[in-house]
Amino acid sequence: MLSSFILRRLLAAAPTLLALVVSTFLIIRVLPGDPAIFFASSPVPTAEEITYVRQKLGLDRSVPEQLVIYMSDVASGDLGTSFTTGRPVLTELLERLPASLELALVALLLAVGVSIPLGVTAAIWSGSPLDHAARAISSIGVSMPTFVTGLILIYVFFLQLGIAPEPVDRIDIFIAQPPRISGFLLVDSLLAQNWEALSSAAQRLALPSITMAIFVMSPLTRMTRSAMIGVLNADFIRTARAMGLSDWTIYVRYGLRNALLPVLTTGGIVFSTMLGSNVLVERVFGWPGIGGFALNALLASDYAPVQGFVLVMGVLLILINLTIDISYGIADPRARRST
Amino acid sequence: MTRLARASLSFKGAVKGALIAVLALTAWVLGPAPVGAQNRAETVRVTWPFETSSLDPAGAGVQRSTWGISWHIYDRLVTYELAPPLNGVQLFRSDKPTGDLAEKWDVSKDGRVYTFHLRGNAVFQDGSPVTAEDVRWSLLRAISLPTTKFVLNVGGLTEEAQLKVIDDKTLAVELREPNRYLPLALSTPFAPIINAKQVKPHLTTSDPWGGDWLKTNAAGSGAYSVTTFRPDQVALERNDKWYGPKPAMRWAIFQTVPEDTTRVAMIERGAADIAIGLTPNAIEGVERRGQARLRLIPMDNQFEFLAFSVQSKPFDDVRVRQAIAYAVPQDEIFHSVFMDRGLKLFGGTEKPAHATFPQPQAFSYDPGRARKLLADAGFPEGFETTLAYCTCKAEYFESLAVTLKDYLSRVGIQVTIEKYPGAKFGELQTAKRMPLYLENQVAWLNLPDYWVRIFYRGNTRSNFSGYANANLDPLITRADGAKNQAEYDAVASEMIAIVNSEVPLLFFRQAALEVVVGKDISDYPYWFHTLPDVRSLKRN
Repeated sequence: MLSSFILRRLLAAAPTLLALVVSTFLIIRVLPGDPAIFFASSPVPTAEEITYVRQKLGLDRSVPEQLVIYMSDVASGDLGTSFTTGRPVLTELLERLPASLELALVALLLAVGVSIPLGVTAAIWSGSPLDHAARAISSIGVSMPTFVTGLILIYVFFLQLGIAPEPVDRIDIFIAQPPRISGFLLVDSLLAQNWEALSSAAQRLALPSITMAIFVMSPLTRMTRSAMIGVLNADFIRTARAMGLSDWTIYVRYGLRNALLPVLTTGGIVFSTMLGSNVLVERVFGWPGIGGFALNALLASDYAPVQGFVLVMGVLLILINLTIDISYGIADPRARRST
Repeated sequence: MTRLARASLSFKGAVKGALIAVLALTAWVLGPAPVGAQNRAETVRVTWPFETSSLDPAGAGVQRSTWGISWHIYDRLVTYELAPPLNGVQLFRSDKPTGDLAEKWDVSKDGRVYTFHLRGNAVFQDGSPVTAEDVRWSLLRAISLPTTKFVLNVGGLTEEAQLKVIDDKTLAVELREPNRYLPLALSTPFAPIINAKQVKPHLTTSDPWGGDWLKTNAAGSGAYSVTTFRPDQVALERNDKWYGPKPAMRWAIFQTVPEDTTRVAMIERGAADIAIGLTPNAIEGVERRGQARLRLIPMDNQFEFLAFSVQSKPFDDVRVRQAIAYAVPQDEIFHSVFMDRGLKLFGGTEKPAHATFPQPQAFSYDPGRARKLLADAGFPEGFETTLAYCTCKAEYFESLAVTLKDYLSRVGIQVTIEKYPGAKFGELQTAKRMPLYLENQVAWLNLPDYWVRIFYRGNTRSNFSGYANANLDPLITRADGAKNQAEYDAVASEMIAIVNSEVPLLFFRQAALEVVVGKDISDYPYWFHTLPDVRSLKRN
């Protein structure tokens, strides 16, 4: 049954999460640098102030003791407090998660929307200049680091041409934000019928999502292309052609539908990668998501947000993989019988 | 026509149709930006790299952003006069403290009692008047919390008993000995005047000073009040009850923008008005493009230097330190590393020309003399050592370190360069485990004996070289007891002469603060804390 399948998978994931939390905790504490000194930032930091800050950070105890305290806090839902923002980590992550998800989803839709047609046409006319061009373009996209692509886009579209808004935040500061229902600004503005907010949010989503989409186009295009080529060589396609079925039926209904299965898996992997790699994109675009938050915290030796971020990412990835497995089962009847 | 050809045509048609649809959508999305409710002309937008974790400047581990915000939402008893504008900048006059929340103050004949008279029309943002009891509680708080007490202790304020409420608008501070630092300490963001009446209901036994409440709530009298407080965006609105000259900007927004090139781009595009925390890379081309103004503000309360670890060999020998001072081509460095920005701290005389600190040191580029000194100290073949700096200050220090390595090798000193991230650097600095390192520092109280006290004495992190000299203590005592400016200046000159010739810290320059300002913004004030102050800004 589906529910027992889900339950078994979640239980199997628990040890992974535990190992993730503990190893992150220990690795961070092995990093060089004393956060108490770093945060005791007044012009003349005295020993007394440093001790005071260390005590507030909870770093005056031994590492095993800190670990036990941390684990019990996590079990009760307390992920600690961020020193750089002054607010509880869980609050920060929950508030910022929709921003990261919205960005990743829009980027995925963009990437899929471009990659699949591109991959299909490359497969249908494989070997042609179009095929080579499609592969070359997508390779260029993946060879540049995301922050380089992002900075180039900002330079061209914001600084030189002035058609993109400033790369800060999700919405223009002078526009009233719609009331928060889902946390996704596109959805919330639609629900509130606030067209100004919708337009502004879409404008600000444009560059960062394009940046991320460029990066993931390559695996999606190539996977679509090779899956399509594999399917188009199959017997049932030859039969369909021989029977005189329309091209739409051959290529889309029969071809693409079967080729989509590996593309689905790639899409899931790509989405997970995006959630991780959006750390730099969020920083470059001043996007208030969990990635930028964790990066700033790490650079400032602020431990709790980094640990919280890793935990949240671990949970998200497990859920994404679970969703892919389930949808695989739905899309492909052959997979269902084997679970 | 073959089936495939027809299919290609219709497929291409479909692709074309899709492309047109996408272009139309893009055109709509990237259409003209909508106009908002808040008036752009009356709003000033500051962009900085910091997040703001607290509204309470006495909070543990707060960043500079908190001091910047508190400057606007709280008032202090004392401030400084601002000099008339020069090149679009108004420098604070460290020699001219003046009344802020305290209209004026009297000093008793023996110099031990300071009586502060509060302004009659001063009210807090909730409407209640500013009383001497609020001031007493605020100062008591400042001397009780570890993050703020040091500066007030330097001013001679250490105990509750020293604070005396005379009447509703008058507070006296009784010092044990005369101390010229008291008014200056009271001008720092560490001594904000808080509305005690508003905070008291929120005090608890575990939080007797209201730190938790003041972290997210402002209880001040300042020129601006807080409308929204998010770590990445703090929005302020003008407080019309403020006693000072009415600010021209009705709203002020302090926006966190992590990338410095983005901050500058925003000013050039007119999306923001002030950008700070900039590197030479980010400001390159600003003047040439002419879409924003670059302000290079010489900081006369800052210095950049090479610190010797005088507690370990070979830098415990003054001859070795002086040798290095003679081996360094200061002119060359000022020109090619620092691009002629800032104020030189070399080329001075052995006897200080003024009783201000830092004074230019008197060494010149003389490699022959450097070698001789090294030989005298027992290192005719030179020696090996490491030179460190913080990656957080790499913009200038990277090329400075390479230049020093080159020139020191010419007198036989082989240098290995080490770079450390902020937290690690701070740890090594506090433990005094770096033989040589590059650093810069801002001093909020700009008196010579303060500099000597903090940077050349004691066991704190700010005694960068771990220097100790028994001759300095009696001089500091004499400075404390100086009866007039002339006597103080004489003692200060003696102290300066000692530390400059002993050179536990080799100076390079006083840096220029790099700020990019929108073209229509008026004169920019520079305060000792180097953070923006929007209260006097106007749009031309």
